[in-house]
Amino acid sequence: MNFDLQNFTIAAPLLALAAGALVILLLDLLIPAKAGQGLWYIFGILSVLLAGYYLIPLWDGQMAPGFGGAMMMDRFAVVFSLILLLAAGLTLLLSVSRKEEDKSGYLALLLWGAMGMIIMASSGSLMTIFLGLELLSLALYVAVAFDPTHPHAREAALKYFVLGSLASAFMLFGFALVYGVTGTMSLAGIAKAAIPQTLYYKVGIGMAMVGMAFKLALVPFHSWAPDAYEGAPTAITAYMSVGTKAAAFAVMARFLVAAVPAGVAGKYLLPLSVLAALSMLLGATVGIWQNDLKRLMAYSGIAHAGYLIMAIPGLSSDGLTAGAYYLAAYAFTAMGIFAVISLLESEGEPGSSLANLNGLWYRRPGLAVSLAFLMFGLAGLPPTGGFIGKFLLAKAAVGSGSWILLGALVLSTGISAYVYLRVVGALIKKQPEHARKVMAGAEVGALELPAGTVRAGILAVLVIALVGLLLLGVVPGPVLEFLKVAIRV
Amino acid sequence: MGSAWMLPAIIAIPLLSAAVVGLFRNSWSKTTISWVASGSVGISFAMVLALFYNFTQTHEAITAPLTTWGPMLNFGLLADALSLWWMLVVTGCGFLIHVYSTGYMRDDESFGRFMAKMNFFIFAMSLLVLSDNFAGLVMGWANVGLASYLLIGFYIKKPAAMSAAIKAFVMNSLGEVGLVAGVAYIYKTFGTLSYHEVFKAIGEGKGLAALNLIGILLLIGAIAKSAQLPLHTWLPYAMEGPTPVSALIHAATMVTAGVYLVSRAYPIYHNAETAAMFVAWIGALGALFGAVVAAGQNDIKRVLAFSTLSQIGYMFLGNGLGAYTAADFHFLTHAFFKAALFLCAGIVVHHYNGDQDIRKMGGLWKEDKFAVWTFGIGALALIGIFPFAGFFSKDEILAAALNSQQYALFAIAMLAAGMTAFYNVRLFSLVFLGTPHMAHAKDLKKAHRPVAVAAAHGHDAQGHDAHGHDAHGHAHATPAAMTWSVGILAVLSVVGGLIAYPGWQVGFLKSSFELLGELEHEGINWAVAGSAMGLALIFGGISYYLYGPNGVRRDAERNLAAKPGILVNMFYFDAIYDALIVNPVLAVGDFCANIGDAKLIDGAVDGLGKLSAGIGSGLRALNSGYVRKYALTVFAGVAIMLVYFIFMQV
Repeated sequence: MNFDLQNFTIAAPLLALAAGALVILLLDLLIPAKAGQGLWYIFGILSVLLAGYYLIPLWDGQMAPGFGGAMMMDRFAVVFSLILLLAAGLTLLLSVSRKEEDKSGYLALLLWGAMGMIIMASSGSLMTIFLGLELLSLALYVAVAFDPTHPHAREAALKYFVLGSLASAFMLFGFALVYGVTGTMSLAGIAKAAIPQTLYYKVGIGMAMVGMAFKLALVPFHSWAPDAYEGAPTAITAYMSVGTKAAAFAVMARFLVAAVPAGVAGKYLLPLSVLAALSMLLGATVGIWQNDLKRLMAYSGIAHAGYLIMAIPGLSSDGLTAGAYYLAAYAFTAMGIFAVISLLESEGEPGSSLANLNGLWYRRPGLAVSLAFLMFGLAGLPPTGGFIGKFLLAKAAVGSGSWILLGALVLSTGISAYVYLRVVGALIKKQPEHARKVMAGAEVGALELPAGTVRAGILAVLVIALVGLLLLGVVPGPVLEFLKVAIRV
Repeated sequence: MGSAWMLPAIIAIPLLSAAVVGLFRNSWSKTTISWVASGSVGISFAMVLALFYNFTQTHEAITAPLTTWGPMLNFGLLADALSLWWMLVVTGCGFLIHVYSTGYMRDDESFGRFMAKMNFFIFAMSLLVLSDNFAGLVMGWANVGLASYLLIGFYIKKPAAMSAAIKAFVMNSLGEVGLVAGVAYIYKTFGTLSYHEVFKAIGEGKGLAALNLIGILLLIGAIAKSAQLPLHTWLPYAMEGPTPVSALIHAATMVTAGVYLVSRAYPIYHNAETAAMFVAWIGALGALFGAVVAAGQNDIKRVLAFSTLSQIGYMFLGNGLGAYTAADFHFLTHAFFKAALFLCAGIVVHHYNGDQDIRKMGGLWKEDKFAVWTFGIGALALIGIFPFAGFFSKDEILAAALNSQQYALFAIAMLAAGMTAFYNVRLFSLVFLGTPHMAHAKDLKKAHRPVAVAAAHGHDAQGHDAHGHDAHGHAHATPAAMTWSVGILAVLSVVGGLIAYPGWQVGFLKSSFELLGELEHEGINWAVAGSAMGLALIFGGISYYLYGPNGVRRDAERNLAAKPGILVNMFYFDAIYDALIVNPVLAVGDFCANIGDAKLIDGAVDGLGKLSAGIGSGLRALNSGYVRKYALTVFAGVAIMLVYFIFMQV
């Protein structure tokens, strides 16, 4: 494999992220942390922007297959990479509230995780899928444990690691079987050589599905999510809920489009529909009983993963377009909600406790209205992008005749509307001032950015999220046109 | 077109202002709020004027495409003759009434909330009028309904206002079901919601069979919004809102939205004889009904409310007969004189410390010359006396009824014109002429107000009794903001109709009614106009004989102890609806709540709760920190997947 210009162009976004991470680590060595920490964030953001800049020339698809077909930087990959970079960039901004000394490593892990996600979205062979997945997972296993003050952080990371390895093992096993039947690792080759009737191939696809369902946190492979979400630092939770989901969705779409021949798609994809329906219902019902906003988001994420799968059964352009749209809307919504949590946490309140949100409207009307709007986004109410996204997904599901999913969607939306509106209700609940629990001031870490900077960074995320969600809700046209051009199966 | 950017701006500026005023209502001074809220509508009005002038020069409609809603709809704004005509009133009258409100509502503690809601209404109404498709119309429609609900219920501590707001909202929701069904049927028939494309298809003779049904469905929405028979019962109660609201929303603009809908959808009604006949008959009956009931009302604002019902009936009649330009012309003049009357009624009510009962009034002409003049002008325009504005527009509708040879409709409309004179003379006599009523004679003498009344103290809020009379011991003049806006409207009520002399309005509007062929102004039909005026003089004379300063029925009418008759009870529509619909629904509701909900639904919910709690406790067991239990669920899932894939037959 010669390292010619084409491959370099394809790898440029990845290199930008990798280099950004290395520069941050290097700066930590060269400049005292107190003075240099602002630079870490700046370089982090810059490398994300640079990666985005390098993605633009890839749009025309001339460079699509690279590294001997192992990477497919086509328009599909570009669109998902943009969503992933958006998530990574917003996560970096959210991380300004970190106070611990280990920040440089933390930021580097974030960027490497983003690299893994982009590799997943642009993978052209089984090996690349696995490579990207592991790069992302390893970064996240460590990042989840990066909250030393939280009692459950390490435990959550360990659980996530053990179960994640299990899922990876299943996926590898499945890949091996598929390779055994088809004799090739490349997705394009598999599409040609698939023999869907053989036992090995069937089991292989099934096992690979398990691995991806785990990353998407579909029932019954979801059990890691609530613990990991609650235990992780808030910014990482946001990153996991958006980034992992988007990357896993992209991989799943790529893999299934290639590996499942159209004629047998109905039977092959049925289990996935069942998992999705279960996820929607479980995510909604168990969400009712949560009193922590992060855990609620974990269950909401499970339900949303189920919604996303509605894009899959038809394996049509319409479906995948809807999926991408929904992911974009979800990215803004989730990032916004975690920004609200971070903002409250940075001011010394237990931001993710639902009880603490009681009567927020009377203390912080702007924040309360923002949170309510974001909750509308989760519930899929107009004029948010969540409504359009859900509508497009439902339309795709109608197109592919997946009535199980539609039925589950209706039930789940009804139940989860209660979950989300309960939060909105809490915001306007009058409550005597003294009843509210306020921490005795945030704990002072070794390395802290000025309060104004922290506030500005988090508010920037919140504003971007709100504007994005609103725009996707009221002017869906341009984005939809863009996605339609991008995603053709 | 270079001016297309103005269209979104016209809509966006009041919306933005509503948001800003709403946010800063507590921190900004009332003066700032007044300037921002009125100024934003003023800017919109200026832009509408610019577009209007532009249109008179070029006669070209301007479109501003905004966004695409998926494959179904290209959403945009449209300024053609019809929508500009309406926008002129919406923003123009809207601006004047905003200015009036800055004086009238200034002492209300929720002044900012009021102005924000008024701005929001201007936004919603502009969206309704300017959108270039039925979906946008529905959005605007629903939002004016919301604005109306919010403003009727503005006095949140007054139970009557709250129930009136709910009543209005429910009635309008009922109509919206019809409207949305009609729009859905349009989409099913034509595959598009854009006005342009739907009307083009109709022009080419497509989908004609469906038009009657569509027309009637849309009409249901129009009837509810415009308070026509039989969905009119919310309008008299809507007068619980502050007076500027009654003037702007429940007289000049929002209630006429039904007229706009029929005018806008004229290709549908033009090709749907049955639906058009419904429009005409509902209008004619409404015109008569409103005028008759208005003659028996004792609340000054309710008299005007039924008068509005009656005048909108005329507009419906014009639309139903295919005289769309006449209906739109009457909309314009009606907005002038009815807004003037309402705003003037606000001033009148202040003389009586918020008491709206006209039986207790009388002799006000000595106290307030300004109110007498403006109210008198408004009443003359409303009756249709030459050369006031209402004369010309009403004449066109009456002439259209005669020319269409629908003699029954013509007779009803003429009778209604006579009754209009009757109730107006009664109202004017009882309020302004003769001697003050005993109940208030002392108050008026004590106050000695030279020019006008005390400024607004949010009297409506105080209700009829709570307001202390002593508060009015010292008089201060009506704020200039109030007198100026009423004065301008009064002047427009005098001269506004004169554009009919050259038939200017037809020439302007005709480009919006292309399918009707080349429209010609037919000139003033003096025979019809003369007989209508003669009839008005006779009815007015009778009324003066009955209720004038020395009228034979004046004292009996002013007897507060009199038993309310059929007119005061508004023909028992409410009682009938209560008996036929409300009470049965309540009974069903009670049944459902006590039996269905408590036993079945709650049982089911409790069951779900227990089930979920069961799941929860199961999860708690898994949550105990044992990874192996998590792994167990993963393995179970994998096992099931394996079994499925192994036994899957492809």
